[in-house]
Amino acid sequence: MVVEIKMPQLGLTMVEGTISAWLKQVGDEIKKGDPIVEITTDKLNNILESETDGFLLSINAPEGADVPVMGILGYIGQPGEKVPTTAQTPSAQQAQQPPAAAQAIPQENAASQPQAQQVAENVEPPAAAEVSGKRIKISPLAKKTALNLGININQIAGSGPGGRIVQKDILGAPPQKSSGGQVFVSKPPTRQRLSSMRKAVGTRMLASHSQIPCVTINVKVDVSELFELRAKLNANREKEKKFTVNDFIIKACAKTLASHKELIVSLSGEDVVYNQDINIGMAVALEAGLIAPVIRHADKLSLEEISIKAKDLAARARKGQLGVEEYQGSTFSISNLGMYQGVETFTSIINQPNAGILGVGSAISELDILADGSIVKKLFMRIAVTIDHRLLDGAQGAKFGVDMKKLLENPIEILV
Amino acid sequence: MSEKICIIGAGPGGYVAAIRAAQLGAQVTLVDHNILGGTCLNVGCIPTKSLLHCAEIFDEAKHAGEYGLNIDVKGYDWQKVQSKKNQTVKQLVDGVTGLMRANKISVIKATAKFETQNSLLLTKQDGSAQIVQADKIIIAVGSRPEIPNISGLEGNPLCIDSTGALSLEEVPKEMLVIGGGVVAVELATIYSVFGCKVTMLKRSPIILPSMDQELVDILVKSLAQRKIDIITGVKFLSAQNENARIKLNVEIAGQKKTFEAQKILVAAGRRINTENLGLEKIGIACGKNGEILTDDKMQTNIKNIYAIGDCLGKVMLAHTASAQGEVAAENACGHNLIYDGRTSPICVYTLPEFAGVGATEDELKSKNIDYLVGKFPLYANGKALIANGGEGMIKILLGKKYNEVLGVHIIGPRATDMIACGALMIGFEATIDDVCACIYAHPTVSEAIREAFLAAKSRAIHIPNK
Repeated sequence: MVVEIKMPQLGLTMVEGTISAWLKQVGDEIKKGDPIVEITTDKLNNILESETDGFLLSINAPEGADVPVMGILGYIGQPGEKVPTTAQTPSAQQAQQPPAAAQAIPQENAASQPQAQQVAENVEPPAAAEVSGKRIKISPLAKKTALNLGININQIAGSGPGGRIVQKDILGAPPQKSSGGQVFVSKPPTRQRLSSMRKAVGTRMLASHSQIPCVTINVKVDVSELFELRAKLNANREKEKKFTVNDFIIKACAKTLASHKELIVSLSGEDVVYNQDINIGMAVALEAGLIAPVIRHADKLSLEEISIKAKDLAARARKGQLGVEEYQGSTFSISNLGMYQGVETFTSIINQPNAGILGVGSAISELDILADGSIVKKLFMRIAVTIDHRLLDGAQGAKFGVDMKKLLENPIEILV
Repeated sequence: MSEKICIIGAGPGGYVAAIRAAQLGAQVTLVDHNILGGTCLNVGCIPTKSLLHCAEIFDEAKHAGEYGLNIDVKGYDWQKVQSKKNQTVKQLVDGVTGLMRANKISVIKATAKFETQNSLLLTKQDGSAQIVQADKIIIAVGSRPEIPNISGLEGNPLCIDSTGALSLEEVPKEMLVIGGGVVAVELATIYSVFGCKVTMLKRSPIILPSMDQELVDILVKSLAQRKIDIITGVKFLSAQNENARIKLNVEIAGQKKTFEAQKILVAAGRRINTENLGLEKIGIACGKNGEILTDDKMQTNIKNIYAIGDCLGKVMLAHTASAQGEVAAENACGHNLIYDGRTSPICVYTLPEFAGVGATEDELKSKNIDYLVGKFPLYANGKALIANGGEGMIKILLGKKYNEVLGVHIIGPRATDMIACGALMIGFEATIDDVCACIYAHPTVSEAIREAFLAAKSRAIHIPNK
């Protein structure tokens, strides 16, 4: 004879228990009094002992399952005996004993109409599919709509055939409140095709990032004097002719590169290309993406010339008026995020076929300890030299970084 | 104590309601002054389809040579065509009679009139009368063809309605058809195949207004190939007989014109059979044409009285009446069911067949609903090509935001059978993903349904996508 193993009521207030562990496996022989399953409630742990001899024929509630009191956990019987086909799983049990939310829905048909049971498929009162894990009948359209409107289908009562949730149930559902009383309606993400520029940027970045083993050397630069010099030079200049920090950086970078030509190399197949011209690509952020117009022979241009050229290229880049030749042929690049106050340092992606790029952070006021131990406030900037480790080594990058630091810290040299 | 339910009208609405009520344990009386089966079985759906099937065989036999079959077609025996039809009708009516018996439904052949909201006066043909008491009453009295108010038509023996058109003693040489609805195009098709020169005349500018007009255009071309003339925008003036022929005087675009033929078939609408029911006596709310007003439980303003089918004056289709009949029966037996007509298809039995369910493109436009269209021409479908040379098209309409199925429209072989799958999609609130995730058997015309859905996303396989 097959005997049910049921969830015991271990206390007056116990409604359900959790299966914490099965101590027997299906097929194990069991003697009356043997511990078979360990049950946990919110208050206690309990080991359920067998009330009969036999074999464990089936486990109907797996470990971790919450089962209501008197819910079937499994069956004990003799080998070959059939477990009842109506064996109820914990969820089916739960469905029979709906939680408070579902019970609250008036079962008017059943109560007032004597024949209601005969056509249960038609008159089944809409029960909120509250129980997690219970199969929820919902139309594909209703599901999409719920997802879009951020509505929890577990709390919707279906009005379609057989209690199925249809779109109008979702559209008629009130916005759901979180426990805090606030209403959060999630909006679906929108979607747009990549612009051709975004695609091009993406392709180049991916190629660079996946092909180049890069190393970045961060160098801290005291730019107090540079900023003072710039202020002095700009004092009497018209607004649109004022030198930017970027102008100084470009000039200093070009000047430093002139004595570090090893950095303006390119990899071409099995060859190293030793570039001769110092052509600085300067990254300009556009709404649609990124472009790096080139200042050619930057080492040979004066600060004034660089400033004019840089302003012109940036303005025309933003208007989309650059010719192809104006953003090709760089031998080194600069990406300056210094205008974003607080950006300390960052690693740029190398602009192929360049072998190096300089990332420029913002100037930040910091305390500095002088040789005599006194503490003074200074402006510091981080520059980050990122190099292609296939062609260059960290030492070369570091030497360049340190030389550029020296130049920036002695800014009058930039002008000479 | 079981519910006593009386149903007036034994058409596809009434007899279905009777069976469902009996299944639910009610004691059911079904009253009709005519034969069981109503218009559908006796003078509607079934007899027309029988004639149409004969027409189709005849039509195919005439074209058998194209398939390499040497069939010598020696015309037809109209009497046999008619008797085949009558035999089918009788078998189905007998079937319904058997169903009534099996469900212990008491059938009374009589006219019914309300005495009170719980009692009906039944008068039999022999003049004997009886009062029947009922807890619930379902009105399913249907409709009949209406003769429009054109002088010289009413009572004219050369003017026939759809009922008359089903039992003509011979096929007329020419026939004028007034109307452009489903009945008009079906009968026009049948008679043209049997050699009658058919001219369809219609007041409004379009035919089959409830169908998707893009596919109607395909049907119009097909009707034209059968030498059926379709003339729209016609103002009807009068008719008179001359030498056993009937002349119809009309005005088209300001020009007076006279058509003549052996017969005029009037298929221009139907009148609701509610006049003699005594509805006013008990105060049942009706519209201006006598149509009974109900809610979506099919309940009238008098709570124990329900009404279904044609007599609601909305959708005059047998399957609509049957669906409403089941709803009324359930509700009369104390359950709570709602009629939802969204899945009710419309079928036009022409050659090729034509069917639609859900919204038409014009309907979506007029309601400002954003939609996507998918179309698949049947010349690109192998089975359709074999069946009828690939004449036809499948068109589907999807909601733009969720891509749910809003309408499915098919013209082509087996359209009226395949439309069930469109009804399922709409009923289940399927979206394009669900439809395309299914596999459709090859080679079938139904494959083209999936293709039409794919086409909505420019990914149809067997046609180049735009």
